[in-house]
Amino acid sequence: MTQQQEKEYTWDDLKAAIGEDFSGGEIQTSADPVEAGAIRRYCEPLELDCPLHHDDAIAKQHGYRGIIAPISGINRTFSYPPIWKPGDSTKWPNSDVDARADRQPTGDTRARPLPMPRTTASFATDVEIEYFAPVYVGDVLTTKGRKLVSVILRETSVGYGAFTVFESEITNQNGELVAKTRTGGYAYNPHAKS
Amino acid sequence: MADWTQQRYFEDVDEGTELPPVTFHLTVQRMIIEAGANRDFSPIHHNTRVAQSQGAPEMYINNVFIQGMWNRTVQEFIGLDGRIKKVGPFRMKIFNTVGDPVTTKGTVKKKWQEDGQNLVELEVWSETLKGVSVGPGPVLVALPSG
Repeated sequence: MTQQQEKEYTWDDLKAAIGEDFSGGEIQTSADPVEAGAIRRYCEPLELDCPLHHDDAIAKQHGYRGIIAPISGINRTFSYPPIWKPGDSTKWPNSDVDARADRQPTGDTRARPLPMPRTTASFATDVEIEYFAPVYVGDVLTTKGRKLVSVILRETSVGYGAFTVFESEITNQNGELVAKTRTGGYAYNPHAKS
Repeated sequence: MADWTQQRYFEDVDEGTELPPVTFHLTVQRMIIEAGANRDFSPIHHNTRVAQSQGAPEMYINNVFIQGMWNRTVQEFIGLDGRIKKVGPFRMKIFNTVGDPVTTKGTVKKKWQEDGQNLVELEVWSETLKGVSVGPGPVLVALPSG
């Protein structure tokens, strides 16, 4: 995670922000409507051959309107915004091998930065997702809200930082609630190499 | 691979019923294909050097890959008429790194009927050669009645 705030924040500032929404009102829309090809590619490394994800007739026989996306991809894969889109400036302005264009998994490029000390690394730690409606080929998903619900400071084997949990909602193009998510991450500074 | 012509019913499961385990071998190629498919290009998931610079022993899979493993394991158990209603909370405890075989396992914790639905709570976890790497965590499913 890389924050670029002018103010020097403390971990107490982050704890004091529990309950606040850090989406900044931004509604994050998926780069594309859900595509059959994207579902196929999602299933490929999982070797997930469930016909609900590739056979329209079978999906209909089992109560769906057509092919559905695997639920495990709803929270990110099928609701993720584009990395680059026409009109954007280049995301790769130099040849630094570690330069990255993608948005951070903890969403720190979204409208409202977190009031926390600068950290240089992060990964996801916790997942809790409730599903309310299937996602079909052609659906367009939007993610709303990024409410901070928990902050726990901890030193781990990889460094020192904070475990955080955020709540969001995902809806489809009809405004129908698809999923509620509580996702946790650990933002930290790695231990110095001995 | 699962036989999708077979449907599991609410009456077929009891507390302690085990899910058939599914093992996923994490090769570099598979992790790259997965990262491209699930759109998580954080280098910790495809670049050993970056992962190690952040304290991990090797490049490791992301939470969507893990969710996908659980998704497949559970869907194969509940069949085409089963519905996954909720996953988690679960915690990824240790890194699932390249070269690891990751096996998803599970058991039936309880079953009950509510609002006309046949609900079953599964307990699911992932194991590597180092032990339990993810979970255990609950997965709530609905099954048809036979």
